[in-house]
Amino acid sequence: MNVFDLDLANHKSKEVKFFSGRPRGEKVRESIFLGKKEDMVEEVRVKVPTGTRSIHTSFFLGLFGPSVRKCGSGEKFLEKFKFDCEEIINKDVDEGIVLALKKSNVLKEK
Amino acid sequence: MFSKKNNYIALLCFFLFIGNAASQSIKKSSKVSAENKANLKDKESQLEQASMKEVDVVSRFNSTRLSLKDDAGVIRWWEAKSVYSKVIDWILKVFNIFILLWIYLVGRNDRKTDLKRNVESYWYQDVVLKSNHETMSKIYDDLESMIEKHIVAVSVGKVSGVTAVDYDKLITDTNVNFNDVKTTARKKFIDIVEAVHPDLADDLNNLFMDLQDSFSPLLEVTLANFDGEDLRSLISSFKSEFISKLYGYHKKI
Repeated sequence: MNVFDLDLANHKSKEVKFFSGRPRGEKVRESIFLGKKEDMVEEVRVKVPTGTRSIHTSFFLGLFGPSVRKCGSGEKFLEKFKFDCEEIINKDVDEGIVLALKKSNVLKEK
Repeated sequence: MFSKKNNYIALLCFFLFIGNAASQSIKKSSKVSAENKANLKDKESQLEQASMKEVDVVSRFNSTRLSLKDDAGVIRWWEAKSVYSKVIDWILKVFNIFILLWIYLVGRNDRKTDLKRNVESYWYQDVVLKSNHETMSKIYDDLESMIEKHIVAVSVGKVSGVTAVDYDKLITDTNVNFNDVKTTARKKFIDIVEAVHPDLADDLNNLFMDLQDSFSPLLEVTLANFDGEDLRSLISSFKSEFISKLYGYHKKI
């Protein structure tokens, strides 16, 4: 099975315990070519560093928003993107998925 | 109160009135002109008989000239033949009909726009804002009580001493509470707004995301450097902007 591993620890400074900002999320997405990689693999494993307090909705939309829209639904997105994280982060992921699926300019696609 | 369109309509009605008055005056003067025709015919025959003096009388039945001289030789240039007054009268009548049609059609479009605006305003004012006033108040209260709780806990920690682990847990709990308030605001208020006003819902969601991005860094400071006032002023300015967005949107309707 083709899998792509995405470790978010590589994309933040050590002292910071949250991920925020849409531009930062978009930058990470571009740097790892997530848009192309997700089409080539069957599964994307996302590792969220231990101790992370929150993945802000803005960051989630920047990094995963286009992927959510591509999948078309939250269920399909979660089938493809497996999040290895604490329970509190799952809430942030769910909230991010809901906002990403809204047909509005909350999500600005590049 | 007086829109540009209404001003133009009023101006047009004024000109119509003037035009009609002018038409009536021309009709009246053409009646006078008809009486004068008869008088002049008598005079002509008298002069022919008497051969007293030459009068420069323009033939009223065949001539196209509009001028005519009286006994004193003054040209009464404003007395036109009756056919000219009839033509002007018909032109004004046709013009009146077009104006009435135009006023009716413009008014009909305005009525449709006004109706649509009234429905939107009703939904926004009565259904969205009025019925969700309590929800909005609760959102503000929850945010304020959450930060006050955090500020108090930090103050107590500063005095009595708190372990790094406990302080870390406090920050995590406050973050989680904040995220819960944000999610509740979206489910109970913003999603309802979105059903009728998607643009406003976008703005409100963006506002909450900006608040979240500003809120977390203020928590992630050492115990010694923590400043509760920063949190308070952040929430206060968020409230103002939230209300301003709601009010500003209503003005657009």
